[in-house]
Formats: sequence, C-alpha cells, structure tokens
Amino acid sequence: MKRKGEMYVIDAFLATIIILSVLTIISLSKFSFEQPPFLPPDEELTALLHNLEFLNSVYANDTLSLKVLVESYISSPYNLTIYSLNGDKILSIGEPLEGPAAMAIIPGWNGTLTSVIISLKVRR
Amino acid sequence: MNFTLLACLFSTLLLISFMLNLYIAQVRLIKRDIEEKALAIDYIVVVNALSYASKKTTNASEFSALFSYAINYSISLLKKNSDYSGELTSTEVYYNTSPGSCSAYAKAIFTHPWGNETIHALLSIKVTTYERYSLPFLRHYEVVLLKVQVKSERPVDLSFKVKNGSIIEIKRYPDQIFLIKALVRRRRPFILIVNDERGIELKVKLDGNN
Repeated sequence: MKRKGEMYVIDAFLATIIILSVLTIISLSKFSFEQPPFLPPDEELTALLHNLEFLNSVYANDTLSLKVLVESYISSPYNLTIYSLNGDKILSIGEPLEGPAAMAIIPGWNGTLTSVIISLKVRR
Repeated sequence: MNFTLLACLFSTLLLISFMLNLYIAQVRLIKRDIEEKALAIDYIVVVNALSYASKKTTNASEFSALFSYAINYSISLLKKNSDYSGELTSTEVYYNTSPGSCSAYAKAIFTHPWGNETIHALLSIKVTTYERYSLPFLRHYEVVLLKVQVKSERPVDLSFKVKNGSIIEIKRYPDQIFLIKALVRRRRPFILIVNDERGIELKVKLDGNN
C-alpha cells in the first residue's frame, strides 16, 4: 500500500517536470521569435518607402537627411546603400554589415524615370 | 505511470499547437511585409507618373497619354528587374485646368496575388479670392492678393512660385488654405506655379485685366 502511494507521488512528480519543461521551452522560443534574425528588414524598408522625405532625399543624394531619417526608424546598426539600375553604388550610409538585405527598386521619383535600387541591412 | 503518460500526451499536443502557431505567425509576418512594400511601390509608381505628366504638359489629352506612358514604363521596369507581382488593371486620370483652378488626379487599380489594391493621388488648387491693385510708387508692378485652397489625398508640403513676378508673403491657414501676396508685372497674366513635395506641379492662370 505504502509502495503504491510512493509510485503515485513519483508519477505526479515526473508529470509535473515534463509539463514544466515543455512550458519553459515554449515561453523561451516565443521570446526569441519576436526578433527573428534571419528575416530581411522589410518592415523597416517599407516604413521608409512610405515617407516622402525619404524618397526625396534618395533622389537628391542627401546623405545627411537620409542618416537622420533612417536613424529615426532604426535604432540598431544598419547599412543603407543606393545603387543605380546597372549596379553602380550611388551612396551608402551606416556601417558595413553581413546578413540578409531588404531590397526595393524605385522606378522613378519627382517626375523622373530614373530607377534606383535601395538595399537595407539591419543587425538584429 | 498514468500521470506521466497524460503529461507526455498533453506536452506533445502543446508543442504541436505551438509550432503551428509559430509557422502561421511567421507566414503572416512575411506576407504583411510583402503586401505593404508592394503597396508603397504602387503609390510611388502612380504619384511619379502624375508628377511626370504634370511637369511635361498642361494639355488634358497629352497629360493622360504621358501618365499612361510613365506608369506602364515603370511597371515593365519593375517586372523585368524584380519580383514585383502587380498587374495594372485599370487607370483613371483627370487633369482639369481653368482660370483660377487646376487639378490632377489619378486612380490606378493593381491586381496582386492577394487581391486588388486601389491607389489614389490628387493635387488640386483653387483660387477662391483674387485681388489685383496698383500702388502709386510702383509704376511697372501690381500687387496681387490671393487666397488659395489646396486639396490632396494626403498632407503634403507645398512650394509656390509666380511667373512674371515674385512672392512677397505666404500665410498658411488650417485646411490647406494659403493667403499669398505677390508682385507681378503690370497687365501681364498672373500664373501661380504650385509644386508639392511629391513633384506634382500645377499651374493656375489668372487674367491680367482684373
């Protein structure tokens, strides 16, 4: 009888450990998912593309305004590079970074049909 | 061992449901980013086509042709060089100019894999008050006072210029109303040139013999 009671206690103890372990794994995974390091910073680039001042600064090659604007959206280290359509670098701000880049082609702005490629990398 | 078995079963179900949620959330996040970026590009394409046409002509039929050229050129360029998924389904362009008012409006419907997106772009200028008078000490110039009502589909910064003269003072009031004081050459038509920060340019012509 006593042995049976001990078995119940061990059983309940093991079950509690299993459930607590799974819950801990889930809560830790959920926390790390909030900042997925493998996704390109498309959200940040999209926010910048909605900003008319950003587009005007890109086409005016205004690095100072670009720096101020990008830093108002992104607090971590970043690299924003503008290329012409044939791949020549027009300007670059921020620091050289490795990792996935969010890209967008702008077919023209301010009444011009001059295309540029915008590349944004952010260190998560 | 009944409790342990139940705990294992419960944990497995919990893990499966968590993995599924994680996958769905990730797909939604990527999908939302793609949609938002495409929407921003659509808007840029429409506004740039409107700006392109407004800078090249003040003729309504030419305006429509130039707008179509610019929008189709931009879309073909995007399709050739990127994974842009939009198809231009329809466009509506209006360019109206009459003494005291000028407006440019475009509506474009883009079909994307997730559905249709409608983009509107508008800039409209209407001169509601126009006064022109001479000053005794200014022989070759007249003073022009005008009240301008500007409409646009989103708030935009504006700059004003005057042909045959220069602006002395601009006062801005709520609801995009501007009071402009300018000096203009005597008996010359008064042409107000309005540029918004998107590059859309409108010219409002007013009679010189007021």
